[in-house]
Amino acid sequence: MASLLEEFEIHDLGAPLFSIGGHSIAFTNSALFMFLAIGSSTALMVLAMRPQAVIPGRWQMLAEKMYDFIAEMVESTAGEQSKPFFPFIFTIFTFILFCNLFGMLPRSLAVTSHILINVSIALSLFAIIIITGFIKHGLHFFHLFVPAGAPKFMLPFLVVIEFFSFAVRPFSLSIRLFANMLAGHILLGVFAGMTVTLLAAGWMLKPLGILPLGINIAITGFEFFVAFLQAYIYAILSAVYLRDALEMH
Amino acid sequence: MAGDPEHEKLDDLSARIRKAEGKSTIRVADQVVAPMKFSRIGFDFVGSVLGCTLLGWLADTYMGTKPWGVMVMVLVGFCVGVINMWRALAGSKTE
Repeated sequence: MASLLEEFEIHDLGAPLFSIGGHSIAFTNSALFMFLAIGSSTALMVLAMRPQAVIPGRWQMLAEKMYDFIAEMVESTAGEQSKPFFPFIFTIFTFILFCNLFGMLPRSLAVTSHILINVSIALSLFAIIIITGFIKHGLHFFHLFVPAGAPKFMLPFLVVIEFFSFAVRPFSLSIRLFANMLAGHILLGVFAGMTVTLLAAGWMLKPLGILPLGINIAITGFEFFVAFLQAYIYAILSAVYLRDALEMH
Repeated sequence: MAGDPEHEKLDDLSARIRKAEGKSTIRVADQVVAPMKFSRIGFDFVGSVLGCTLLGWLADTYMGTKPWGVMVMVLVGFCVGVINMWRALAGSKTE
């Protein structure tokens, strides 16, 4: 029987393409699913909006709904000045959503169950937030770490805590998504293994195989919900952190 | 006179639009608020501890402060995690 963690392995599909700093880069299954996510989401938005009808058809309604959902969320969370950042947050949401959903296909790799992908997205988000904060507020941006109304003598301690509280935000953002996806897929694998074991056992245990199968069906449904929810949480927290940088002062 | 039914229809439509727009966008959050809010807070705490530990480990590796870097940063991580949880649960007046 295959190991439980085999579904998370990254392997090369084909020969190495080029090398960076001594590491040879090949097209991996992770890259394949990322390209699939990007390609399908781009195709969905482009093709669905092609009719550009005033009364939208079903596909156009779907695309407009996705747009409005995130646009409203970003504007209500991060305010008026956040409109230039909407494409970025929409891309984050769509990429994570499609990666999560593609991970639900059998024999596929859930791209977001690798911490590196999530950390990359979170760090690029925070690079943009910090750079924007400095452009907008100059050195005044450091006042982000000074909570209002704090007694002066506690200030050094508070500033240190605030700084680290800000610094760990990308990590908590990425670990949340990573842990949810990893745990969900491991759970699916565990119950599937239980089903197979029970079905391969003696005749008395075979009917019991329906139980982990039923649980697996429920967990699969729950995993679809978690895929949507985690993408939404990622997007809404990105908007909240953006608002903190844009409007803190 | 002939325009009145049209006016009524449009007024009714605009009233309905105004009422629909009055509903906040937190409609989704209302249905999923419990798992969403608490899972966020839980992961914030874990993420704070792990993130600070990572920063401490990086400081250890590149600045040779073994073993104090990780030790101090784990404690800082717990403090930061608790403070974030407090803010998220009690509603912060400062941020």
